Amino acid sequence: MKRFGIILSLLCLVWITGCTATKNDSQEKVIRIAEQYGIAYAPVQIMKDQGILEKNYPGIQVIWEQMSNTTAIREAMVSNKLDVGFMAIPPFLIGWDNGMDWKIATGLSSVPTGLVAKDEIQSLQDIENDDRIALPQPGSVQHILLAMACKKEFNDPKKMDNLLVTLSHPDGMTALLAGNEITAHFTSTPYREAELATTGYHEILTGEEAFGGDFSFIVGVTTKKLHDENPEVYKAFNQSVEEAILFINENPEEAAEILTKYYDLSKEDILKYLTAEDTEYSATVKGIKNFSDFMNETDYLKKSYTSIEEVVWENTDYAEY
Amino acid sequence: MGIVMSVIIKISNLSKLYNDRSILKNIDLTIETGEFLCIIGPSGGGKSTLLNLIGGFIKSDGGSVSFQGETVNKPNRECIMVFQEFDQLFPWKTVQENIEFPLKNDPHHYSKTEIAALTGTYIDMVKLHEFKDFYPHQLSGGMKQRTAIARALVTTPKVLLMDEPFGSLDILTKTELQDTMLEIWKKTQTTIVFVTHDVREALHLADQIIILGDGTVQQRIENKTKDSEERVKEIIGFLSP
Amino acid sequence: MQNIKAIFLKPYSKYVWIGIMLIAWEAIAKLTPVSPLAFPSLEAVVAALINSILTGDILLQMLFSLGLIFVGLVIGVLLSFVMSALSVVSPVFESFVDTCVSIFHPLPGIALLPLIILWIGTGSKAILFIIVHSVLWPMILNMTAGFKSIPVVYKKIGQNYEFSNAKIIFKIYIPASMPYLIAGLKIGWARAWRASISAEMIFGASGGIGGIGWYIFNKRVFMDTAGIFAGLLVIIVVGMLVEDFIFSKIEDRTVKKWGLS
Repeated sequence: MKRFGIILSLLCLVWITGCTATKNDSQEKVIRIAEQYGIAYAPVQIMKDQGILEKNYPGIQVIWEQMSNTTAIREAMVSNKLDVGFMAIPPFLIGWDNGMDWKIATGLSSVPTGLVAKDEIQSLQDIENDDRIALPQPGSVQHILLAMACKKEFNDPKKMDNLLVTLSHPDGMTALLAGNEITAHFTSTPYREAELATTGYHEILTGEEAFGGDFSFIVGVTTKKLHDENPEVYKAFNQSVEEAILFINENPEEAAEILTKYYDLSKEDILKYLTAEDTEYSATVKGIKNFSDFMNETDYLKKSYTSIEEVVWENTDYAEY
Repeated sequence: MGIVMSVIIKISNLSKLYNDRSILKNIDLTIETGEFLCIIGPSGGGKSTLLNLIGGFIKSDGGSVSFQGETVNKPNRECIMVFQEFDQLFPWKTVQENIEFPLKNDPHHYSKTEIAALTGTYIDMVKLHEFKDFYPHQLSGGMKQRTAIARALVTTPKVLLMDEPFGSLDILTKTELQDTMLEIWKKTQTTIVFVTHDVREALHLADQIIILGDGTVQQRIENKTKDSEERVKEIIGFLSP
Repeated sequence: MQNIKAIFLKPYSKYVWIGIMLIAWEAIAKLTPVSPLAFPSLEAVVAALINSILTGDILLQMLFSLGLIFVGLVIGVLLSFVMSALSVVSPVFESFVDTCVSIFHPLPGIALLPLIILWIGTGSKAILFIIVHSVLWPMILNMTAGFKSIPVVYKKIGQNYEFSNAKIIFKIYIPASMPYLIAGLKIGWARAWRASISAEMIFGASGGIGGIGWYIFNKRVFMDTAGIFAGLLVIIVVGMLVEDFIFSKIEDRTVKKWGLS
């Protein structure tokens, strides 16, 4: 029995050290950022391509982690594999609600998002039990926007919850256009535009209509650990995001040229998306209160915040209605 | 016995090649109803091949086998084969179920009472009454062969083809089974074609002995005085020229 | 020491090990600085499980998954039976089936997903397709191996009594290859189980409430780690019940009784 106890405690030791082994012992400052692709993430690619963070904090080592979705980013941040992630406000709030030590550091972008449906479906009223709605996942901004619209339309935010099919944007587009049981797709630029350009499909709900105003589609979130232990790095990161946003807003042509390296789209298309009327790159966080209150009322969250400091770091710009 | 009966199997000019080598060369042979015929000969002498041709399990390369006047070209339910291998029993069936199997699946649809009666008769005949609910893996080699013999007899076929059925048994068990076999033969009057390489076995069982060597019938012997040492020497003389 | 060793050699030793693992788990959750978001305590997991049973659909979702797997297994077994039986009878068909197996067996069902979305859509039918795909090929391999392992003498016996090919297959080949069929069924069940869960985690709800994979997926996106473990617990329990009560009973009544295992 004694021998077994030794083995067990050794196992525990391995486990514990394994969990903390990612700590970097060297003096060099490191920041680990989740890299995602898409028009809404354009400032992230500009920041990487132009080496803006390296310029603002000479000597920093930036590690770009490839991440496929928000859930994976969140899990990586829980296990301290990542310092910064970009995501929509609802997934951030779900993490915060469950006790994650993180806050929003910056706004990033607002891009057109909406529910594209077959022409037979004229409005939410026409969606029936046989229909299926593709969207990235439950708890995503698309899901919460749909719930907001359902609350307005039917006074039942969960009315469509049993019709959801989880598909990534490209798979969702394939499924919608294949014409099987997926009859609607809640998606964003550039998939939304590609679907709307196909005959037989139209938009029955925009994100703004559902939300009732303007909101940040993507925000930048950092862990408390980064913010508290490396305030200089945190500051440099925020400054870099702002500069990247400024770069796109001031030199959209040049930005589009750079982004052709990252996206499988022509320069003209990228430029069109970057400068579209309802696309906006801004460091101001918009709409967080509205999301939080709605998600709390509808039980997607267990609580809402009372003071904005609970969810955004100091010096972060935000706008409330 | 004594009374000569009709011809049941007639083999004419039968040949079989195996990889261009002649296994059987122009065999002519008649087997009469009720005969206990042993085919003996050295290994590789074509004994099993001849038995399989009689059973219709393989095709000949010349000549013919006829059973009750009809040419044999496929296995038929009146000539049932008993094999040497112990795994000829179905392991998923008990002794009784193995014996019932041919009756239950017979195209002639035996009634339940007929099945029970026939099965009971043959289980008793091979002395396996106490073991009827045993699975094959619980039986000795001898009991397995007894079961196989009962299964072969239960549909009352005209001919029993036996391919060295006791070849893998120890000498005591073998003797017991030989005696049982003789009892059965006397009771059922079934025609039996029995292949063996054991001269004493052939002399003990058969009333007709065929010595097969080099692909031809070397000698046909009427075996009235069974088990004589002289005969053993005589036959061994034929087998090793 | 000898007594302790004896405990681990008993049939119930599995449960002793499980007990030890649970204690180790609780110790790690309680005594080490791991985040409850990564490693919830047992109470949290049990509470999540009870909550899901009382207020949620976890049992219905489990039944939904099991139902899909059952249908998928039945279709898979029937298809593989037809294909194996035909390839036993016809050498031409055998080479066709061999080719199919070597093409499709190494292909994970999930890798077919983009095509399945295009061809079949995303509903229960698509999940069923993935389940059947994951069951079919290993089942065919087992069935044909089983049929090939049958002693030649069985076929001769069937011919001797002038049975039809169908009768030979049903009355002799199938029971004779039972150990292979059961092994194939076990692999098929494990594969179907995995396929349905991973397909559901990607597809999401297909028939309203969805299955157990969808349950876990939902717990994941809403960051309910205890709920994820609750889902896993249900999967493990069902897996063990199926192994201990269904498959071992089938084996007791067949291959063990026949002395074939």
